Amino acid sequence: MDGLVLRNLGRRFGAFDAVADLNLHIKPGEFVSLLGPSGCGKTTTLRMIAGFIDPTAGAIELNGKLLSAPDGSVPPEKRGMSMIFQSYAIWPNMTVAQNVSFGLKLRKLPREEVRRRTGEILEVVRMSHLADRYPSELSGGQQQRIALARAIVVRPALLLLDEPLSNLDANLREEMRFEIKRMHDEFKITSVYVTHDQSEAMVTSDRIAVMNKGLLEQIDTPYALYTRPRTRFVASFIGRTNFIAGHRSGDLIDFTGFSVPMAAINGPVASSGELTASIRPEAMRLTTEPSSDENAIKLEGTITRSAFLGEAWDYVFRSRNSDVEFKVAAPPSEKFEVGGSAWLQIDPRQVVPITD
Amino acid sequence: MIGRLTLAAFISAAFISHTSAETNYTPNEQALYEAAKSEGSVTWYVSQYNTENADTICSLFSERYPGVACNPVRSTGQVAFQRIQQELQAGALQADVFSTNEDSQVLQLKGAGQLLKYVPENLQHVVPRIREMGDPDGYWVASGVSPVVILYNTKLVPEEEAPRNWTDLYDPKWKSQVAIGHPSFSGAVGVWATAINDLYGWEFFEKLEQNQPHISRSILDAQNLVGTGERKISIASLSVALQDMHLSGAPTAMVAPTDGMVMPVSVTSVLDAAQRPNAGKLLQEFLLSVEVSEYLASIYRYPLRPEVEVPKGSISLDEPNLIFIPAQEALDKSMEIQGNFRDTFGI
Amino acid sequence: MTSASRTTEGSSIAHARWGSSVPWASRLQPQNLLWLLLAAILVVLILAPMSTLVIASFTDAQTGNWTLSNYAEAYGRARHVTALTNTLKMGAAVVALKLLFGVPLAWACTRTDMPGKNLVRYGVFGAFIMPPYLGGVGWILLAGPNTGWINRAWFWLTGATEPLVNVFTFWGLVLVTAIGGFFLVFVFVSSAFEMINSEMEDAANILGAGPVKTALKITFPLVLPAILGSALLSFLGAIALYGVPALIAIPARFPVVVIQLSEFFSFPLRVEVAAAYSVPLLLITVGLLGLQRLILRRKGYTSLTGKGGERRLVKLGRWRWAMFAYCFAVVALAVLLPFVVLLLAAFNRSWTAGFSIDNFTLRNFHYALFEHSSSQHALVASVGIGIAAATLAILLALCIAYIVQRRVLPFGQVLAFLAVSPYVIPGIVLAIGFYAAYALPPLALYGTYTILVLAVATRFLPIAFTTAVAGMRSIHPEMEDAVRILGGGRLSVIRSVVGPLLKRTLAGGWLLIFVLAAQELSTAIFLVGPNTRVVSVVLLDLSEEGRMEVLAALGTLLLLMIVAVVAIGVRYLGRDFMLRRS
Repeated sequence: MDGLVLRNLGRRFGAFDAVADLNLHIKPGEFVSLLGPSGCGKTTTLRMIAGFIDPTAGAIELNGKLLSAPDGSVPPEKRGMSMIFQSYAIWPNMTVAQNVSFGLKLRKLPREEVRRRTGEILEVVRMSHLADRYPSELSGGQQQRIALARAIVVRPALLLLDEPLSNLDANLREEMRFEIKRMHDEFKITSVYVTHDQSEAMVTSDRIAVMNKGLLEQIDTPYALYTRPRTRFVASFIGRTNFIAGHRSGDLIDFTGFSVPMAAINGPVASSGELTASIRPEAMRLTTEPSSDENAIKLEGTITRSAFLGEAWDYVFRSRNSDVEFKVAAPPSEKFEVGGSAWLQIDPRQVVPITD
Repeated sequence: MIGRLTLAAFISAAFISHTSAETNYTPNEQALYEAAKSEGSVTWYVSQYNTENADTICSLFSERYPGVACNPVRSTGQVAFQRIQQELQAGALQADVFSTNEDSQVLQLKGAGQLLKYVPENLQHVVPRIREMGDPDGYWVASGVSPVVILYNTKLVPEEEAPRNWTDLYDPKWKSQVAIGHPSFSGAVGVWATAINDLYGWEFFEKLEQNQPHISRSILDAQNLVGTGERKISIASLSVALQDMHLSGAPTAMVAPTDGMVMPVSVTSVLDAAQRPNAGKLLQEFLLSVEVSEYLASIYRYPLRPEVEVPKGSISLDEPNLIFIPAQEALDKSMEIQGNFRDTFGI
Repeated sequence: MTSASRTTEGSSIAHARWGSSVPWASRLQPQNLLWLLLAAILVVLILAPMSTLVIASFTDAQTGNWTLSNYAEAYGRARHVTALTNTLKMGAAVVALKLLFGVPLAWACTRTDMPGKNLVRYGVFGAFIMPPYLGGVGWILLAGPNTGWINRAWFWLTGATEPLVNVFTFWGLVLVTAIGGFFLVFVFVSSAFEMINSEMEDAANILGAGPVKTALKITFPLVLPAILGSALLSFLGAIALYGVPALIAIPARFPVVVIQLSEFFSFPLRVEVAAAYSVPLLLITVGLLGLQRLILRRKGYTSLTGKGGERRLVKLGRWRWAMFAYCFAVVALAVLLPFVVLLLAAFNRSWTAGFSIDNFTLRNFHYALFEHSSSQHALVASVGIGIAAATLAILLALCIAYIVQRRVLPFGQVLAFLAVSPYVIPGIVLAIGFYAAYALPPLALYGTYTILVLAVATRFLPIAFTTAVAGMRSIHPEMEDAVRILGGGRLSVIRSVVGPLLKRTLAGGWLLIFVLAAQELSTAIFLVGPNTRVVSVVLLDLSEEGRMEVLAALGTLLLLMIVAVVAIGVRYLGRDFMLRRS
């Protein structure tokens, strides 16, 4: 199978399973993020892919070639990958050009080609004018560009990125996200990106694999992940959400204070009939009058809290007949007073059942 | 400049006249020389001479026998002996020839079968008195003698106040003014201590201890302290004392003790396991040659050959109160003397 | 199951198959063999001599059977036990004196506005470069009871007949031993002082503590680990020294362990007894090490590792010059006075003669360089052994530090322990271990440069290792991962990143070891052969012949050569790329 395949991959440290039974297939040219809170096993997974850590279970294959198995692994230097590190790991004893050309020289390419490709990639990352500088004379963003150039110039079979932007300040981080995206679009290198920052993952990735406590929760495109989270963890980790409990009653699902037709719910319901659903704050709308939309669910209640975030209002709405509270987002123009009454309008197609 | 050149010319002329006269080797010498040339060098562990004298003898040797390098390794007798023991134990003997002031050491080596039996051709020409101090079985030859005497600093001690005999050393008037060597380092001191113990019993050293003598390692260092004035009197090797007085102008004079002059015999042997036995034998022959005796006389040591005159100031070897300690006796008592010495002087 | 079938069959994630392996050839890392080899070298270098020593101490020399008689012989005489207690007494006194010298100087040079700090620093470094036995000879010329320069001046000034000072005493021995080794205290304590953040002291001031109270309650407790560590090293250095006791303890009639050991090494050669005599010394040092750990652990000093923040200098006011006078006095005692009299002797016909044009001569240098049979050779050998041993120790230490820090092999901590363990082995004991393990057949390395270089490198391995570990800690592991993922092996990592980054640190450690190794006597004394004599041994022999002038000349030449190498090293360090960062 082409691309990167992780098969039942596991890594145990003593009695602790850092990664367990992970299955993942990353297609050639794809950009996949491993997203999760710290300690979820994403970095361990990345380092297993790189060959710095051997798995205790399962296997890693790249383009049909077995790289890692519990009884032995191909060492990192023989994997033909490259990696961008959280600390940049730019070698301070080498100039920018020496850093970038290092991997090419290890590949024993002709001197002329080394020079040409180094020059080209420095051009791409707009660092040509600093080729003879030492890293200590560069800013953090410039160092990160060097790291990027150094990793890409060798045309790796797989590019690994380990929280590459976490040491940069906010503005630079935003700029670099697009820089990374641009590089990927330009060179189409199969990439695995580890991050705990969902917006970073969403900007850069074709697909995002959300991990928690060593397990893979869900892998999907950013859009699908946001709109159709499959687990409580994914729903809460990516964006904000409301969880509501309900149970099946004939063709309806009864939530406290309202019900939704089974057909409108987008997903399977457990046989016990109990279920939890996630509703994003953006999936609801506050109005002063009940909506005329036939399909919409309409609840009457009051605004209990409000906060203005600039790009949106953040309200808490309490349903009159059930006392259930909902977090709701509204555009800046839709202003409601705390304590005032309002109507909440829910699109039933955006009520997403999840598993715990 | 001119003066130095003339002196150099004189010295070289003096030596060359002899070497050229002797350049015709005897057949035995020729054979040894040929064999030694293929061995290339000889390593000489020597406590009999100081480094400077040993170096000179070695260069004289190499001048006479071109192609045979001579490496002198100078240390005190005990240290050299210890090294040889270590080397034998390690199976890596470096020494070919061993010259020491303590004949009990070679007796010990002979008993362990570690000496090469060789009677040098030159031995027959050696002064009989010295020749008979060698091993009758031919495992070593006597290569030097030098009585142990008392030395005093002439600037600090008027002649009439100088000690006359050994027992004067523990006279309280010399408190903190005596220097001696250590029998665990110096062979000559070991022989001296054995003889004094025979004469006066161990009490002598207990009394000497009261005088807080300075304990040097070698006898050379002890007498050097008198030369510099650090101490007023010391035990001394007669030849070295003469050498210092005449060649270095040390402000010292010596006294031949009336109660007996101890006469350590310096002996030379070739080791059985020597890597270069022929060069070793050749060096042993050379040490008994007229050439070396002339050099020895020039540095105020006893010549071994009757052809060379004994330097002025030396004591006749026929003097009645010279004390010889037979090697066997020295060997038997060596450990006890060293132990007692350490116990008495605490070091 | 072969890997080929594995990759063709396992074409879907669902069909995972176990028991397959990565091909052996692609797993192979040839360097792994090298790591194992290095670990083996370390074990051989340290464990072999030490275990041989311990085993020998329980072995009957004649029969080879197990016995305790060596211990009975080693400790059966009161004199032998006295030598041990004397050594402990001397060690304690030396430590006290070294601290008295080192700590105030370190404080003055790092935390105060004392004038002439660089002068003091150079002086302290000078004391380090001067071999202890040379300092000892200097002090014999200075404080010999009747002819020492100090006493002659005293007689002349006062008309007294009793000497003012006498080097051939317990305190003479202590002073001469201490001046050679307080450099270590100075360096350790200086760097600890440099770590202290002024804010820690400010915090105490704010709470109402005066300067004295702050110093006693805050500052000194914070440098206590450094003081204790250097005290322990000083103790070990003091009890293991051979040259100074040979020069001074024998005339002072103050028997110490090293003198006693050399007795066991004289005829009849009793290596087993020497081994038995050394074992308690090992136990004492291990015990001290344990004690040090206990003290430090209970107080939890581990926090003193962070970067020092802002540091302000203590204003000494009118005490500035008093402090400088004290520092200068220490430097004078340690290096200026002994060196000046050595120079006087080296250029003089007789060291007791005054210095005038008539007495001036270059003959001693000429003799030492061109006439003496072994000194020319010995100078080359000393410097060569210094270079070889320092290089070997640093390379070995770098690789071991890498193995330990990056967990390349299991049991890395065992390797780390081994690498620092020569720290607790007195040099002379190490030499006896080396002699017992390597001098004798089957290896029969007696009288070779190999055994000298190995022993000296082993002796100073802890310095190299501590340097290398500190350096390794400062390198982010990702720097190395970056090399590997781009296709470089571990050796490539060391060659292109770790080595260059640690260049300065390692070169500093190299210089320290070089200086110590080029002067080394304690180890050399039992391991030199007739053709491998080093300057330290030749100097000792000259002292025993009473040739002080030649000794001074040869000692000066050795110092010159050491200083030359150090100067080249400092020049190289100064031109390092790291300077460009500032």
